[in-house]
Amino acid sequence: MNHIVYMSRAVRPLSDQDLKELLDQCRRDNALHDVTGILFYSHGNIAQLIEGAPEIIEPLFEKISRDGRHSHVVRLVNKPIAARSFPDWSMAFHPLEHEGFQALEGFFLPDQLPPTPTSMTIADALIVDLVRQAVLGAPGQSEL
Amino acid sequence: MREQQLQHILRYMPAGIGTLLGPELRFGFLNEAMQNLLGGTTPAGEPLTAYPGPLTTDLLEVMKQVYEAGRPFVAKAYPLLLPISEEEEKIRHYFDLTLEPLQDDDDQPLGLLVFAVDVTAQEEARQRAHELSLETRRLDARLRVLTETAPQITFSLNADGRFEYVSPQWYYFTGQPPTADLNAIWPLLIHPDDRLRVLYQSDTARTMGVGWNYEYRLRRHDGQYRWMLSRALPELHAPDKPVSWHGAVTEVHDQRELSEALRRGEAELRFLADSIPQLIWTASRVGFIEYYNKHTAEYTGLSEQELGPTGWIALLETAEQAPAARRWVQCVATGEDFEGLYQMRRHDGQFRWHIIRARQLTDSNGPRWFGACTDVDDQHRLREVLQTQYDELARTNRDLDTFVYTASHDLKQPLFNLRGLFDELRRTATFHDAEQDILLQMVDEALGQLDGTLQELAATVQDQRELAAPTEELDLRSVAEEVLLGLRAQVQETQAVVELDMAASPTLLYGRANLRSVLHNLLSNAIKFAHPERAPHIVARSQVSDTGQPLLIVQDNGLGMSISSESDPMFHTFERQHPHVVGAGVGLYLVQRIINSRGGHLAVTSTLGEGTTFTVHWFE
Repeated sequence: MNHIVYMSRAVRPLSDQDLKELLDQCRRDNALHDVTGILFYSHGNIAQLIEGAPEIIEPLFEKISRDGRHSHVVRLVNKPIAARSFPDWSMAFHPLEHEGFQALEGFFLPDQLPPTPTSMTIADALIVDLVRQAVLGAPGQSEL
Repeated sequence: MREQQLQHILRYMPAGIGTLLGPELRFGFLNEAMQNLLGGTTPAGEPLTAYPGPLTTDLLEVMKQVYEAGRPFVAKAYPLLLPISEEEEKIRHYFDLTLEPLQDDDDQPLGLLVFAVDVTAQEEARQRAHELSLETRRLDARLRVLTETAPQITFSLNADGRFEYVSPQWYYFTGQPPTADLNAIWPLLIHPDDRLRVLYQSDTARTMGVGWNYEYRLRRHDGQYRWMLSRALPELHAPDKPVSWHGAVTEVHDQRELSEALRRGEAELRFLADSIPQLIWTASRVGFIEYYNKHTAEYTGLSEQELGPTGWIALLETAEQAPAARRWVQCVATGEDFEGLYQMRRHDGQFRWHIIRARQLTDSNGPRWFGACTDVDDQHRLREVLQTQYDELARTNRDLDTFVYTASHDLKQPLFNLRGLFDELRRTATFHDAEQDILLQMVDEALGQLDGTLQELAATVQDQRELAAPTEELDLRSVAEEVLLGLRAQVQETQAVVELDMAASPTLLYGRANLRSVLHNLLSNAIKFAHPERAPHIVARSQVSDTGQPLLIVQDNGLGMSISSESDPMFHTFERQHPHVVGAGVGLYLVQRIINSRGGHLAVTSTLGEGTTFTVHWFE
């Protein structure tokens, strides 16, 4: 079991519809390959953590990094982990229209995001906290 | 038959053919092309001047002259507006008009043979070519202006590698005269260290038929060698045979120097960071470590890969990890400095104390973090040891004080008993000794002295404890009066006169017990060491020094004493100036201790047999 964390920049800002489709697509694909994790998005900034078998997630990351919808893909970590920390695949972002998103499965508003799972080592949790802060801003910081 | 054939050929020829007869140039034979040319109305036998069609007057005039002179003439690309009819739009056509005089056998003019070939297409092509050449010249001029004003040297080389063109900038830059032989001089102006490489590279590129791109140093007019970037591309005509190369030489000296300096600076900084026996690291704007110095690998035994962007946190003591991580996230969010004392694991598993400190640098490259972990383990341990020793010493000191205090107290009772027993003995017993009185007095004195010593020892310990007592604003006169009240018996006994003059500086910020102790000792000493021949006269006066600090002067007219150093006398416990006077020798030691511990000093002047003056400098 490995996990990979990366950050990137969207080539063009993603609309609510884009994000909704991305959420659907990822949940479908990832459930199929037993990949779990979380994606943060805000103002063109993307960060994602994926966990799963290395032979699944490494080619998956290669595919993701070639995706034309984003660029400046920087892989922060790719290392073995003791166990999964995310039960399924979810996503957190600031939608333009809040309606319709609350009910979506696997979606979190940034301020409703549960705390970083304690099952992670503190070093790994620090990575998640830092990418989350880098993408969504510091908690309590007003969102423009 | 042949005539008919000829007529047929003439009629349908694509060129106009016609004859104009007689001096009036009357229409003779005109084929169809010629009829069209003349506007279609050409009644045979009528003079041309009556139906000139599109022909202009000057042409008619030339025709008449050709007829008269009998010399042929060719009007090249003569423009005619055709067709002549009203309905259709007139278009300019060009004809080569050949005018050939017709003569009879006697060389008498008969008429004109006119031959007209439509050269419109050729003429238009020629005109277009002319326009193109004008445009080319204009573009060429523009190109020249551009190449000659750009801050670059532009050049063209032929297939043999000889210069065909070089822009004037070359002459400005090198300072060479316009007559200089480029092919000979240019290589000589290249820095000797670069020359062979440049010649080889350009030669190779030419042989391979490709362009080039290299840098070298070229000598400027002032003799200085400047870095230049030379780039050229081949001009290909046949697919495999470049005929010439065109290129530009740009001065890149400053850029190169700058990037060289940057490279050097960065290499030096990295070397510096790698040489420091501290853990040095840099982190990105969002808080991920991007660089660890060499010492980090040596200390942790982990590679940069193994440490990862947040690996440092795992090196901390387990209990310190979560708070340190929270603090780091917060610092990254706010840009505040990160600082703390943490235990970090060494490669051998030993935890050592480190000060971890990181600061954010904000410049044009955006914010970045620079951090250092300084090993303070030895200092930390030393401090712990020192603290333990200090605590131990303080305790010992307290114990000692308590011991002295208790001892002096405990000794008081037996002393009291001893005195009572001795008094009782004196009252009831008789001694058969002539010196009985002297002996008895000596015992009395010794007992009194022992009592005084015990009292003063207790007072010393008491004062020692009060050295650190809080200070307050004290009225000097009232404290001094209190002290004198306590000394009332001695004052009366010696008939001492004590003057108090505290007007100059009436108050003092000091510990109350300390001030009392100082006054008590100085005043009681002054009374104690009175001159046997006169009553003590003591003056206690407060003053302000030249530096604005308060002083106390206590002056007497007593025995006086001998002093080693006036400004810095040393008084030791149990050291007694006048052994014949009762006392434990603790007083002045105590005064000096108190004053020194509060940051002041005691000075003394004295003349034996005349008196002593103590000056208390409360503060320096």
